[in-house]
Amino acid sequence: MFKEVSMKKSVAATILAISMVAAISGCSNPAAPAATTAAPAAETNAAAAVETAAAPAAETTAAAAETPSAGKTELNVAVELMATTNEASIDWDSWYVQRYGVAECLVRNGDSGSFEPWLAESWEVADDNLTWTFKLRDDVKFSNGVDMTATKVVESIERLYDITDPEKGGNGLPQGYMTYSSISADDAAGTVTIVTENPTPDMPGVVAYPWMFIMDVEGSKDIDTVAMAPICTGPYVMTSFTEGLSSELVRNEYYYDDVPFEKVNIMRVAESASRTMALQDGSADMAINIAAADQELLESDSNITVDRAAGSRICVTFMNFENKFLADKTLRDAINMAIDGETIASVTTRNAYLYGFAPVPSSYDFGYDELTNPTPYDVDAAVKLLDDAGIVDNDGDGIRELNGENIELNYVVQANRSMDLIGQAISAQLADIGIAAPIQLVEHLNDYLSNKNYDLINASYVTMPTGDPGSFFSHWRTDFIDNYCGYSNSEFDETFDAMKGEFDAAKRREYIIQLQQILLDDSAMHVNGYFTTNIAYTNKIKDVFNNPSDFYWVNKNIKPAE
Amino acid sequence: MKWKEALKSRRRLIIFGTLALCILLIAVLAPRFMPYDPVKAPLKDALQAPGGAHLCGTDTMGRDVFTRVVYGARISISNTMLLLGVVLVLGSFLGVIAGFFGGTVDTVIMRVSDIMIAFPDLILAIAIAGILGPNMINAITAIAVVSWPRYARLARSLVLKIKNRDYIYAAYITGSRNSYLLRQYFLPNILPTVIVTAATDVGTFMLSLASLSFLGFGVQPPTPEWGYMLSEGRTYMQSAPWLMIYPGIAIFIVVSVFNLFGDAVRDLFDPKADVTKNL
Amino acid sequence: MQKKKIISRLLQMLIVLLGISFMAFLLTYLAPGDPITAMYSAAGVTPKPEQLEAARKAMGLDKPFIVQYGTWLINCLHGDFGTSFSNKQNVLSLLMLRFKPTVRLAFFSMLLMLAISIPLGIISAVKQYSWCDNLIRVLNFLGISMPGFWLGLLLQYIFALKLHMLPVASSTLDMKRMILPCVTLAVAMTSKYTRQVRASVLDELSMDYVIGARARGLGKWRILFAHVLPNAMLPLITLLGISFGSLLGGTAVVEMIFSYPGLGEMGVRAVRGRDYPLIQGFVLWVALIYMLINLLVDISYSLCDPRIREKR
Repeated sequence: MFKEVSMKKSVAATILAISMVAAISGCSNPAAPAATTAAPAAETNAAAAVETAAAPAAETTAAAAETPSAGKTELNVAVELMATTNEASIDWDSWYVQRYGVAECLVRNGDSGSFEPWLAESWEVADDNLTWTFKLRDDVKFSNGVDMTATKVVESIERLYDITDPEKGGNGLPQGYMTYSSISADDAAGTVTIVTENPTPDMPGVVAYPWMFIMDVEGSKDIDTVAMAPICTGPYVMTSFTEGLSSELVRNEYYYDDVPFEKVNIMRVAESASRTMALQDGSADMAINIAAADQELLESDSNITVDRAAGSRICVTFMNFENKFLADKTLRDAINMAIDGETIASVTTRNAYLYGFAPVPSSYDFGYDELTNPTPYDVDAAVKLLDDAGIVDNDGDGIRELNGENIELNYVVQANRSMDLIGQAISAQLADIGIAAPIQLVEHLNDYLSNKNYDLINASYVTMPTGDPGSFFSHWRTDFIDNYCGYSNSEFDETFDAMKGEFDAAKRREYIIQLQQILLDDSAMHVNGYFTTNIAYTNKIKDVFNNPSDFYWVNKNIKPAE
Repeated sequence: MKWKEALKSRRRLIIFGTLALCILLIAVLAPRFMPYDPVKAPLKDALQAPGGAHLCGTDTMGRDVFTRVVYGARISISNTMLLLGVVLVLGSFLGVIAGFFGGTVDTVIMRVSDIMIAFPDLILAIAIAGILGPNMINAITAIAVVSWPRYARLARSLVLKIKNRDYIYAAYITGSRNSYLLRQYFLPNILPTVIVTAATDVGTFMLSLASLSFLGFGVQPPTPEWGYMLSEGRTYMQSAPWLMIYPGIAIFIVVSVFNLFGDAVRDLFDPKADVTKNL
Repeated sequence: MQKKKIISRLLQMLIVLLGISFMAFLLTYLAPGDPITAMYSAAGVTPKPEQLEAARKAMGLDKPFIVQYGTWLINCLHGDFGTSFSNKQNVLSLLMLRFKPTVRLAFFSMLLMLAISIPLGIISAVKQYSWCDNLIRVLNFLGISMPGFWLGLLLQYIFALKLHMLPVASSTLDMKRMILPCVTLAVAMTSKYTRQVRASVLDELSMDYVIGARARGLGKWRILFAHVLPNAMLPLITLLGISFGSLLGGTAVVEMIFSYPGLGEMGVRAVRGRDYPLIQGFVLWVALIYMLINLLVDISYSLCDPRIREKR
């Protein structure tokens, strides 16, 4: 009997021992276990990426943390978000390919706001306002050694427009900014000529937009751009990509300028508190987007610098004009007057936002100082306004009634970029004057916006993606597809159409100021403020600059500090 | 030694019962003696450290943390009791029907409960609550859906134990209707055990609800709920750790007290309770 | 376990899986909102109405529920779990990717738990009512009442932030990164398990054969290690399987706290983002793992317990 028991036991023990050995060997050599786990689909690039990523990174990350800054060959970057793919035509994934330093465009958003040459040395537009000619640099090679010629540039742009063509089922995003009737290359002169269908005054901004990055279409043929970045011209080349975890880059040997680091490790650290910690304990050299709460903490640390910039991203609270309550102007005015935007921006969001009442950020020259705010913060005035209009609380439940019904607004909020804090603050302040606006936290705003499935909603927009805020106002143009609030005003429409066709910058500016004032006078929405992005970095590196466009994180300028 | 154990458990029952009662009283009476409003947002007082006017500091909206933590007791306890009630009633009902009627009803109910049990409950609860939409009712529904099988099985086994006894047959033959049988015989038989099980589960349910809220599938702001307050406090771990510490302490204390109380109740009914059944 | 029994268990598993798949599918069908808009929404795109209609037809959403369910099921059997809304990648490959980290986390947590709870439980039982026992019981109790997510946050605060002992960010899933999540998971499980070990050992100790063996003059330790413990461990093996279930649930929370890229984190994000194919795949996958583990546990249980073998 004892023998039987011990035999069965030894069998079980052996099984246990084998699986333990497998797991432990899996732990010391992370590349192996792809075989031990039942993985029929292990042929995907993603699995391969895990294998190649894990082993070398294990030693080098440790090394990077220990070596002093002299001789620092690796850059460790902690980011909040990573795109799920590296394909330019998918949504906004191109932003990340450019941010990692892999891809470059023809034009760059300069650090001080104007446009700078990048892959294109210069550009000009002909008198017809439609024909743009870009003169390319002649010393650019792709990371596979192939020369970047005008033909290659044209191929890259055509590929993007082909995939995103709405008629072929594409998302139509690039076409929303510019469509061309023809594009041609002159390899001998090194120029690319694009003839736009409509006058596009912000063309430099259009080609500077991340999805317009130039890739070697031919050379990237065999690359699955979902799992790996294509061949581009940037200072760093992607060698591995693990979705949601990390990406590794190495120096592009064919880059036309000096590349300071041999290796770049992008690490996804979703929690802001953890990113802060990563900077403090040295496991990251730079961290993207430190929460406002921790910025003060880091700024008092002498080893760390926080570089902030107010970009053109705003948080706007749309009001749904199809809601029976919000159609009433008095109510909208009162709502605007009840919200203490200054305190919310400076205290509640800890200066993550810079308060401003106009749709175009105050730091840009679009007439902020010439505008008047007809509904400044004044709670008493708001209460008086409502009382005088007969919008009072008749049944003592604390909520005012309009036309016999309690004013209850469905406030949709996304927990992103402190918009949930703004939402909570606004909801509380509205409750104080008797308007019920309970918030509903959601993960993605898009279908609430497009189905107008909200009464109030906080949305975050980059007002000047291409350097010109004109297209941002389409959110209020009657019958436009991105008019998510149902606003309709004929004077606004006329001014908008006039602005759209205007090529002269000064005249456009005038129209834009008028558009802003119309919206303000109508209390069409509530602007909460302009978002400040930030990059924080340790004193082991230098020349980090937080570009207001938020398009560039890793670039050739960042180098080890001596 | 047994009588010593029995006496000990009686004493424990009194002590922890009193503690639990205290907590309940605090929860119920909170509005009467709490100085601050848990929901109003004096924005300018945001993120003040503990001390002075605010015992536990203030949160991002300027609300007093101590007040919110105490009000959180109201939310947590009431929701947990609601959940318990639902699971108790639903589970026992289904279990009794399954045991009493047998046949297809029994098979169907048992198979469905097998499916539920074959599943890690928090994951399923996350899926249900997340998909139906984040609010407390859905969170309670989600946990109820994954928890009723245990009670159903318990009720069913208790029913089966006495179903074939002579006195049941006797009652049946002399013309007692099913509803009478259920009310008079079966219910009193299953109630004590089921209630004891429920008492030991209070702590677990409270934690489950808090976990769901922590992940964002439960209450919505500005309701003060401990799990949600903890998740809000994460971003401020370094700059305002009090946001994280106090709600956590509150959960810990309340869950401990109710666990102790539940154990004492269980020990009272069955001092040699088979602990191995309790996973 | 007999082949027949194993096969019948597998069949049972299949039926249960079917039930779960039906439930998972039903859930997403019942969800408020439209899966197509959810799909575009998760991708951050606002489609035109024509695109919506076209997509709806392409995904067969205009067909009755049973047809949709059937198609999905058949696809699953072929290994095609659909394409994630937010990632545009194959759901199965995404699950595979996240599977390994979670398994490692679960495995090491379990190891840690066993390493702590078995010795503690034995000591607690052998030295019943001593100060050792009481201390261990108090610790257990604290562990059970401790909210796992709070513990994780506290550990992160103390060890990563204040003491700088463990790295916060790293591009690999090495042991250092896994320590805090494993400890967090292990604490809750250890407390419960130690109780079971203690109870089981106590049960064994109170059996007649122990008294008999003692009377025959066998040494205390010999009785303990050769007879009592092996018998006491048997029922605990089954419990291992059941606690694995709460482990899987616990990893969801722990992975969120520590930003650990495992199945749980992906599942929670999928639920938040209404990524229905991914949610369905995730639910099915977790169910499958859980049931397989339980099956393995039951098999090894019957291998170890001669009484069950003899029952056939």
